Amino acid sequence: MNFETIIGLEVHAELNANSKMFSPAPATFGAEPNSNTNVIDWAYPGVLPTPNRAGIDLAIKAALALNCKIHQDTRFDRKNYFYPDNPSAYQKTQDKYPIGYDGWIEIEVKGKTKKIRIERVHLEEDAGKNTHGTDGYSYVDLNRQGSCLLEIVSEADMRTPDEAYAYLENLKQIIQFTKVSDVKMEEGSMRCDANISLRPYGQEAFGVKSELKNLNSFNNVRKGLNYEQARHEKALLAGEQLLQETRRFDASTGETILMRIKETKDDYRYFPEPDILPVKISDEWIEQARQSLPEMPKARRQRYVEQFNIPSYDAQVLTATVQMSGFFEEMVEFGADPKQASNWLMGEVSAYLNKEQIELDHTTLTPNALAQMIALIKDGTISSKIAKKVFVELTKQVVEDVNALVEEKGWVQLSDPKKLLPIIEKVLDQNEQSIIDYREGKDRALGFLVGQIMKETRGKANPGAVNQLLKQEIDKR
Amino acid sequence: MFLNETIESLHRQLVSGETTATQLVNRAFDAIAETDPQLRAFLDLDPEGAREVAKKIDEEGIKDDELYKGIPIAIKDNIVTTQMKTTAASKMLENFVSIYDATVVHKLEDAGMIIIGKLNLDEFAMGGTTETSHAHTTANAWNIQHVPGGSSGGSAAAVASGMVPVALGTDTGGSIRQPAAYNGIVGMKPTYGTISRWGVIAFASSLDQVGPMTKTVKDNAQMLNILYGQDGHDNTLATIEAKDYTEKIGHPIAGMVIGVPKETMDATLVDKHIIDCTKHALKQLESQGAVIKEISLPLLKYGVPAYYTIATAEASSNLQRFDGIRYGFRAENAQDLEDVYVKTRTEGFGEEVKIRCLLGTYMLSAERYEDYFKHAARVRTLISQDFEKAFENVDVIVTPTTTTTAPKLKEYNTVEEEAVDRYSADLLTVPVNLAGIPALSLPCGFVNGLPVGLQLIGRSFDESTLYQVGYAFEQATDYHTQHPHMMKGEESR
Amino acid sequence: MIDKKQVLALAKTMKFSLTDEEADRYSHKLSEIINYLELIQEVDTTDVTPTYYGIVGQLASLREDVAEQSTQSEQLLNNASDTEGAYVRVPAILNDGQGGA
Ligand SMILES: [Mg+2]
Ligand SMILES: [Zn+2]
Repeated sequence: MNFETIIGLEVHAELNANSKMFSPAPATFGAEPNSNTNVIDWAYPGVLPTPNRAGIDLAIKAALALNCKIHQDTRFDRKNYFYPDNPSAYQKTQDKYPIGYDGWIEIEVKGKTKKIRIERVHLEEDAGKNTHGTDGYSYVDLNRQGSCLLEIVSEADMRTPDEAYAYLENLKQIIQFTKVSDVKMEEGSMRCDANISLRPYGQEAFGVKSELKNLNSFNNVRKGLNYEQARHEKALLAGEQLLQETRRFDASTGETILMRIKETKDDYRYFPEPDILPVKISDEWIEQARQSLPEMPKARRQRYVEQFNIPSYDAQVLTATVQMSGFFEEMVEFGADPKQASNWLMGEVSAYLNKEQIELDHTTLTPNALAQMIALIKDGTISSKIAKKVFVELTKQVVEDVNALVEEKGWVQLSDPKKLLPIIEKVLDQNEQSIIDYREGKDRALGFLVGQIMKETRGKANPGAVNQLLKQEIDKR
Repeated sequence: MFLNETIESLHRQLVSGETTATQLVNRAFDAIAETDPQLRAFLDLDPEGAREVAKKIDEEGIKDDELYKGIPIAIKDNIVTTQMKTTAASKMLENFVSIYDATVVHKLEDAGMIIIGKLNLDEFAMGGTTETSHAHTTANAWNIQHVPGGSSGGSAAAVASGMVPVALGTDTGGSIRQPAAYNGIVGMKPTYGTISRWGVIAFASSLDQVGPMTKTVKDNAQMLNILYGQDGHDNTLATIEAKDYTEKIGHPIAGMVIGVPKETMDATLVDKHIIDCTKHALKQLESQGAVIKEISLPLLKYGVPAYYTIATAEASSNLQRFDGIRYGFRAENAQDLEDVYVKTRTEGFGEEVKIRCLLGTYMLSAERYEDYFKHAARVRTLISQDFEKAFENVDVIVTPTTTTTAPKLKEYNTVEEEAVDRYSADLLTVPVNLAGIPALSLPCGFVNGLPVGLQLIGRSFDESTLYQVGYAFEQATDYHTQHPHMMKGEESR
Repeated sequence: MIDKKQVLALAKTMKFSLTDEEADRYSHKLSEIINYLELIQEVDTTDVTPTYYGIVGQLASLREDVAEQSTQSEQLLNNASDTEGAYVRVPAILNDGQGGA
């Protein structure tokens, strides 16, 4: 390829606050249209914004997690544009003094790590939602209007759609660990716009960029960027003049579609919001936010390897999501062997989540129950085979006492010699040839005998105990 | 009529049983019926609501310490109310009834005052004559051939003519003080951050402030006592400890240093007769022991251009919400969304509002932001510093409130390029808004039968000193006891 | 100076439609005003911090994050000029990527 691709991403994340950024209306999803709105959200004449401390606090946490510096004298600005989802016709946002600036995160693509710089992390109010009808009307629901929204703007540091994908994955992971946002693209709590341009290698000036909107999954971001990359390259090779365009990704065709051509730079007439005085973010506030941040994925991975002595691959998988990582740590706290806990989470649990397309915190599984189950395997109460049946039970309902469940189901292993010996005697009496074979050194004979005993006990016998007792009894004969 | 009444005089009558709240309300509506056809100060009235409240108050009785209870008041129609329409004198809100009440409305009600009506103003408070009102023009209480000033022209005329004992106005660049001066009453623009703006339809958010308009200085201080303070809605409010704005009323002013900016006594800028009145007033203050000191506010003349740059920029943004979708006027026959916006805003706003919005948009445009808006914001800083420096040496600054007495109705409109003249008439009031400091206008004389106002400017949050000086002046003069000889049509004095 | 074309561009931003006569008149008026407002260009503001707020040195008072259920959605909808069910209805919006946060 003759061209270098330049990609920058703008990510919006809805913050987990109870109320909106500038009004006390509830910030919950799924309510009746316009029911979570008040005169502020509707930009009634005479209303004023009441800034939400939590919005600022959550933004500080996110900014810190993204290695940003903090503007301690942070301010709000107005971005002016008419749109029905923007009732005051200006969005309260941050222009000159974003809460966070000059940050970075690390991504890994094909084994190589790279730092992607973050230009700014700012706080703003979300817009309402327009539903476009087929009847010549659009329908406006202002429930989302005013919700606390974080905008994370990267520098144009990504060079391939794969890097963009890795950036998003990492960003999502970090934000998710901070718990400031659910960052769920499918629920709209995370949204992404991408800017892409191409330039000949060696050229310093950026090429003409296009802006991609409507990207509703990380995969679509990658697909859309790949499509744009090819489109730009083709145009440039053909000597065509590219125009600055806003384009929409169509997931059904995998193509991008022109929405509008930006002839002139949009002039949003930004100016300081006179209705919101500057907000001072004290050293103490920053320190408090920093203290409250959980350990980030990278640090966790290192710790898992060192503290729990588990392979780095396992650590990687366990820290993929904050739920998994938290679940794992809780299991260990409930006394589960770390390696066993890890095996179960990476194996049976992950398979279950994949199959059911469900998130860990939406299941009936609890760290306590899984830890109990692992303990029962360890002390021989159940076999690992039975454990799989137990696991299925744990996915059906929340189980407080796994031991009780196992007993109730009659899944407790037979380890008591008094109960096992009569069965062993019976099996030996019926299989004298096997005893001979065993004495002649055919190990398989012993396996056959164990199998027979398991059959007699319908799988409940403790294989360890059976082995030991069986050898003793053969020796006695 | 309430021409010779004060809050205290009415309160005494109420407590003694000489009158009742119902009688006061009736008295107000009688006065309005008699006078308002000529002055046209009111935009909406609430006789049923007011009588109902009055009846309830009369049933409860009024205690000695309930100073405000049962006293009628009217408020400027850019303050939202649920009981009456709130139009901001614009077609855009012609039939708008708010679904929430402004904080000041709650404060008045909590004090037991009875809001009887809404008062005319320039459309969205943009103007100095009340002539830009979409509804109608209000006349000056002293001479109906003249404007009442603006934008709180309705409030000033209503108080001056005795239709209500007190009223509320708003002041972004002089909109309380100038009409107060034109109508011979007392008007206070408090320090920015004193009175909640919640429910006050924004013109220029960093400059707007509500204030009382009264017959006397003491009434004014007493009104401020119930209006100030935080409400959980306006984050630009200052924290003010419990305060009595009448605390210095009656204290002598001997020894007090009064600064007179030489730039405001310039006959090329200010009408000679007004300068004479001001000098006369200064002599009066001097005779009471005040020390008069000439000072300089070198940046004074930059106040108006800085003000119009900032105020129109903020206004252009504030008025974007009026789009015909969620409330208020919506144009007919809009074909598409853009049409809804354009037709509604084209038909809904008057020319002055449009001109100012265009101007403000110009100031905020990316190419001009630095040189215009931001530069003006820096000039604003320098103007504030001018005042701060002055207050290192003086306690109060005194200037005329206006450069002329009330002009004739339509006078400006006959001048070809009148806008600049009109804007520069705000010379003496706008610097105060830019600096956020308080200023009081009170009557200090007459020129050709039209009142003249004296402006007292104070340090931030030092309204009490302004009331002290204002009261001392008022006690020594009789301007406040003179009333317009209404309303026989021609020059009345 | 601000010519008719500029006035029309500003009017477009502010969503006003102007007749030819208005555009002419506004251009004169605005030119006069802007010319006057340019007086402040005389002032040397080097190193001066701009003042954007009505009160200097004061910080925003922040609200605690307690949600208050709105009780006014019906009244809000009643004041809107066109509604459908619980929605505010507007003529179709072109999905041109202009909106959003
Ligand atoms: Mg953005
Ligand atoms: Zn944004």
